[in-house]
Amino acid sequence: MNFTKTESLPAADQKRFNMIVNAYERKLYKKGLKWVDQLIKKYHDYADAISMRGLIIHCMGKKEEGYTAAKGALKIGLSSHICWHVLGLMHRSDKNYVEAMKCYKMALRLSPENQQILRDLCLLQTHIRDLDGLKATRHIILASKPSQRVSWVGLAIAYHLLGKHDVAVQTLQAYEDNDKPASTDVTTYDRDGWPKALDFEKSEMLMYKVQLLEEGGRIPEAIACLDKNKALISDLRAWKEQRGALLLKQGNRAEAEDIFRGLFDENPNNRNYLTTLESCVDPAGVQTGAPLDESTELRRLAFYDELAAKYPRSNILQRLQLNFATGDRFQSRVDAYLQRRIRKGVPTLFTDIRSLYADPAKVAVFDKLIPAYVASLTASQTFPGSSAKETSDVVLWAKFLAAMHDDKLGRTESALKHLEDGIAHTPTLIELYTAKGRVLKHAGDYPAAALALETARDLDTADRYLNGKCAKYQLRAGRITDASATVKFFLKENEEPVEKLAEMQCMWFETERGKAFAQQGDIGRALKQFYLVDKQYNDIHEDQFDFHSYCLRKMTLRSYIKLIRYEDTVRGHKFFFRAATEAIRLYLALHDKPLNAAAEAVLGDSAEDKERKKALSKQRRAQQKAQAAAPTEKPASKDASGKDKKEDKDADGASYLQSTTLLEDVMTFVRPLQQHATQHIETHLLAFEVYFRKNKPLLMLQSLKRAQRIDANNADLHKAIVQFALRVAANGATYQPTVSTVINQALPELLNKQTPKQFVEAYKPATLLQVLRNAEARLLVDPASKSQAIKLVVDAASKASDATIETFSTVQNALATTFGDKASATVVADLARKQYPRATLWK
Amino acid sequence: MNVRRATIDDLQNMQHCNLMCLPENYQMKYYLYHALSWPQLSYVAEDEDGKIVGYVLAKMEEEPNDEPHGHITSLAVLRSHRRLGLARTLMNQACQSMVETFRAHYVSLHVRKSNRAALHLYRDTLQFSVSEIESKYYADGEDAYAMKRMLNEFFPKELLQELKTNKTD
Repeated sequence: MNFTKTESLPAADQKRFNMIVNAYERKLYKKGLKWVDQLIKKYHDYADAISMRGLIIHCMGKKEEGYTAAKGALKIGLSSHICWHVLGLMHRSDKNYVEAMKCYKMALRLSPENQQILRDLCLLQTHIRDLDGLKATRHIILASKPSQRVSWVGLAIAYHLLGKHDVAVQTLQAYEDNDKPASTDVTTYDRDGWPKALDFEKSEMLMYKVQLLEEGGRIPEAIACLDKNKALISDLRAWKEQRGALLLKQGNRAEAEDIFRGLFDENPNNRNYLTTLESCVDPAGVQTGAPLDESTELRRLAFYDELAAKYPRSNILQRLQLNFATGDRFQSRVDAYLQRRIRKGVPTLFTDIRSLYADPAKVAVFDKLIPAYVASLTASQTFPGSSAKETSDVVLWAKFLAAMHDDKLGRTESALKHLEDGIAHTPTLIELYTAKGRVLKHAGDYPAAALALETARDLDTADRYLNGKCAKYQLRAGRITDASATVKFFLKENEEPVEKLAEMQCMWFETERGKAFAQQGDIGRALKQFYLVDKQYNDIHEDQFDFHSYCLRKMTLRSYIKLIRYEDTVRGHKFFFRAATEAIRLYLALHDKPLNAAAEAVLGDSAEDKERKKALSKQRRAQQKAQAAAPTEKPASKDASGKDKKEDKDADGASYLQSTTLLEDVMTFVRPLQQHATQHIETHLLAFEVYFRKNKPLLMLQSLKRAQRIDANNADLHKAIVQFALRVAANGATYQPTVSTVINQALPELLNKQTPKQFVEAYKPATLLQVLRNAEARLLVDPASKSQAIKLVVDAASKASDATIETFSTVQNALATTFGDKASATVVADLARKQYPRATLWK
Repeated sequence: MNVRRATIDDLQNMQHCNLMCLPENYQMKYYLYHALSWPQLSYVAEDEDGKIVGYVLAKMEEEPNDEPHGHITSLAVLRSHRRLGLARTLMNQACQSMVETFRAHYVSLHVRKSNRAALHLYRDTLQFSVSEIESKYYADGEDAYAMKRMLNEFFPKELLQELKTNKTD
């Protein structure tokens, strides 16, 4: 018998077919496959069944075979909407969205009101943010299923995403008007205002409506909607937060104050409640920029004191006032703050106050108080001016704080002395060893820092925090294999650390490993790590798919909108940013100095590094041989077959290195940063570096302008502008007229209407890095000024008391390479060694 | 330290905090599932720099025949941020929201039998008690303590009274 379409089957077999679809939907692939094989045996040219079979085996990992089956089925059943729909689903799951869309639309043409296809089309349109298409599809669904809530809500969401808040509100309203009242009981428990009947979905929907009204700027209506529906809202906390915020927006401070007092009472550790409450009470005081005049400061402190009497345990209350208190008032308050926490033995005390070190006046207070604590406690076991005896633990925690304080001010030896004292007193206090590790890390001695963390870890092997920190420090010290062994302690016997942690999306490990490989010149393996991070973000981006339908049923629409917005900039997260910037720098190095020369360039002159260099050049010769013999394979990034790929054929990441399109490959990391991480100046500076090498003048210009808007004084930007100006001067004649027009208009602005030479001379460098970049720029505009430029850099280095290890290293390398002056590089290395005597970099 | 409700934007940092502290880890999708099903129940603690240093990831158990109750999927505070009472603050905020939004009668959680520190925290500091031992609860075959905490204290008196009357009816 010949059948192509399910509709023409006898009822029993039609039912069987539906069971197969059901099995697929519930991921019961084996069962589905068995049934579909039986059906095909009976009707061997049955297109819908062949197509379903393709879908099921595709899901089971046989992708190629799946496509062949589905396409074969289409040849028989060209007019079957099922065949088209199935092929669309396959493309969708392989993220081939354009093809998937075509298939869905074909299927819809054949079966225009098919709800399943319409739903899948909606999911896809939402996923790729085809919002106009989504709106159109939602309208079709609503027209055919007006009785279902999800039809209305789906349309409202589409309008919301399109920024049409009014239509979205109307849509929800239309549904509400037709809907039966959610509950007959719309009363509350009088005193507490809790609704008597609970309807979570109704509550969520109303809160969503309030959000729409607010975002649409309809504040009074939003408040009215909250008030009218109070008895239907089960999310009481959100109701109050929202109402308070709206009242404040409307300028109704008195009522808002009541609400935020109530909220602070429910959670006296919430910063937002506290600051908003204060802005209700004293808007002028909150808005005044630092430093406050005395009367404002007194007024604000009085507000805090009044609350503190009622909430003596609120940490945020005690901490926030330290930000704006000054002089004696700051000193007495911070004194009490510190003493209380030293007594309690709070390990995080220093991190908590660290941001106050931005103010030199406050640093001076700390530098008076903290050493005095240590002196007094050591001498008499009392705080200064007190006669109350403290326990010996208090002495210990005072020294702990003093160590962190000294470390912050660059007094490494004193910091270590405090910690060693502590260790002698209580050798079992783990925090002393982690602190020691941190001090040594700041001092540039990574191997010793790792040893300190190993000691800490050994004191409590059941603590994963110590284990992870230990692994991280081992990686910083270049001990990659040891780090894997360390993290394995928290995995099962048969689990391979790198693989397992990748599965759990443990990105810190991947990034730190990548940096460690890069440090050793193993750029292939380093890049591989950063690509793993990129893959995590692909997965997280893909995660949203199931929620496009889930949230519309659950009605958690406020959170759903947040999800959409979050996923739209998911790669703006610092984990991606860190990995991507590292990867881009490696690509730039690779482009400038092909293959292992780039790796050698990052290595120093130590004996260990020399060994590595030797190994690298051997490796390079082997690679060159191999490349000559065989045509280069494409990088493994596009793994089309997708079959079980247990064996890693590119363990060392060689495919990334062998690519002939490095400046294209790097865009995997550049583009997302440009879209999601625009607030970071590094994004635009790195983009400039890439476009500079690609010779794309307009894109260079765009990047520089974006960077300038963030920080016009940035050292790297200064040099980049000069590089750009010189490139334009050299190549400008070859640009298209339209390009030239744009650049000729914009360039003077970048250069402050100066010539490049004037621009370089007018720059006022404040930091060592700025001096260096300025000197490099000087060298570019006037090669004859080289010795003068070098002198400026060396002078600055000799006065740079707060330059970091990294800056010193950058300066040293630049002098040795860009300026080609080994002697001055040695001078800087000596200066750095004096400032960071423990740093292994200059050992 | 700032304690507030978790939002979608916090989930990656919660996942990181979890990976730093605990042996039980979850993929991002599981965090999303919590935040998009029970957006009211999870809380975070962040430090002065906005870094997430502790969190509670919570859900409702929605079994039709059981009275509504919450469940703590995961709670962690970075070792560096202990002794600030964060675990208690986070737990109480989550419990408050379970009662306010879902009228949860009690909250439950699981602890590894070998994890004495956690058992101590939940029993002595957070007012949980062991309700039973679940054999081989964890993937590696270890038993779990199933623990419970009644949530009466979070109900307004009037409402609690009515719930009690309904129960005896």
